[in-house]
Amino acid sequence: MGADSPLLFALIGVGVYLTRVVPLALALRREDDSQEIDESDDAPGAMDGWLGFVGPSIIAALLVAAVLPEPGQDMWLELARTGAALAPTVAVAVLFENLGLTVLVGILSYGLASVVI
Amino acid sequence: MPGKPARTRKDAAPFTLKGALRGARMCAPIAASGFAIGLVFGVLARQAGLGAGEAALMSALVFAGAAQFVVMGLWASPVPVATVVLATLIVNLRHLLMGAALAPHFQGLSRLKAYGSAFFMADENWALAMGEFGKGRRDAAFLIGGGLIMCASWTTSTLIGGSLGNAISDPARWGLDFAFTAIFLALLCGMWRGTRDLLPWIVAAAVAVAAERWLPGQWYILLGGLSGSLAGVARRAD
Repeated sequence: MGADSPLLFALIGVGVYLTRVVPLALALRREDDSQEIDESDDAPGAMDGWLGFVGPSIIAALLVAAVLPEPGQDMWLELARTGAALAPTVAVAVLFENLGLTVLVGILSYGLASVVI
Repeated sequence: MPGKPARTRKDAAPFTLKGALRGARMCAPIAASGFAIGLVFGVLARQAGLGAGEAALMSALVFAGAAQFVVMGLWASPVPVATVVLATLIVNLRHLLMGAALAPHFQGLSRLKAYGSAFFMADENWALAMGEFGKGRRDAAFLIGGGLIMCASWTTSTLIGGSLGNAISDPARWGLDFAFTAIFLALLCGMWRGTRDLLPWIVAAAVAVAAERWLPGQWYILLGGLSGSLAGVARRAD
């Protein structure tokens, strides 16, 4: 697409990187400032408490969006396939706590459900 | 300061090769699934007029799948630079929360290690890293180890996809995109601490569903994460 493409990609890359690093840098700076703490104060700060909830909340948001059918798909058919694939995937995730196995069972289950349903 | 207890500094997070290798090993299944999606991105980039090398360069420099797909959707001649850059930033707004959430686990790292790791932060290896940290494993190199293998897979597959042209169309047909659902599911199962987790997770999910339906782009991740975490804080304060 021309000689300017690498420059544009670099520009986009810098923009994306800034969204990753700036909040980290600011939060690290805040952590550094609060490192000098009273020994008697072992309660987590409000910010730490909030950040502790951020991870699971974002993963829950990612999960539910991944599970729901996309516009244009047959909603009930897709929900049936996803539901059928979720059951064994959850079972393996809970029983074995092994990410690779869970992913493998998930893909196979969904593939099988797509053939059967 | 008389009368005040002695001050302490928290231990610095470890950052070891062993941790990076563990991250790479744990992210290998994700990298394999991402490989298929990278092939598709390469094909789309080729169809949009980019060469295979250009597409691979973009994957290496940007390393943000969702944003790159959005860019390809906007790609035209001449390229609408401002629109492309703005759309990319909006798609990646969720990283604002994700980057900040890493800070407690990157404490005491050198800036080079912390900021270098941030380049390799993607949804999946970040989520895995948070799962690791939640289980008490503190090695901060886990993130960059996982990110490196994912970035290598993503860039290589983009190059191959760009070279293959139209041979690949839809990885969902083989159920490969369900890998991401399985990953997020496994991570949430690992983070479960009891019924007190239910409220923030339900709030996050409900807000994400509503936002995904009614707002463009990926605001649902940011809004879901924000609302769920605030619900968790509010519940804890009760």
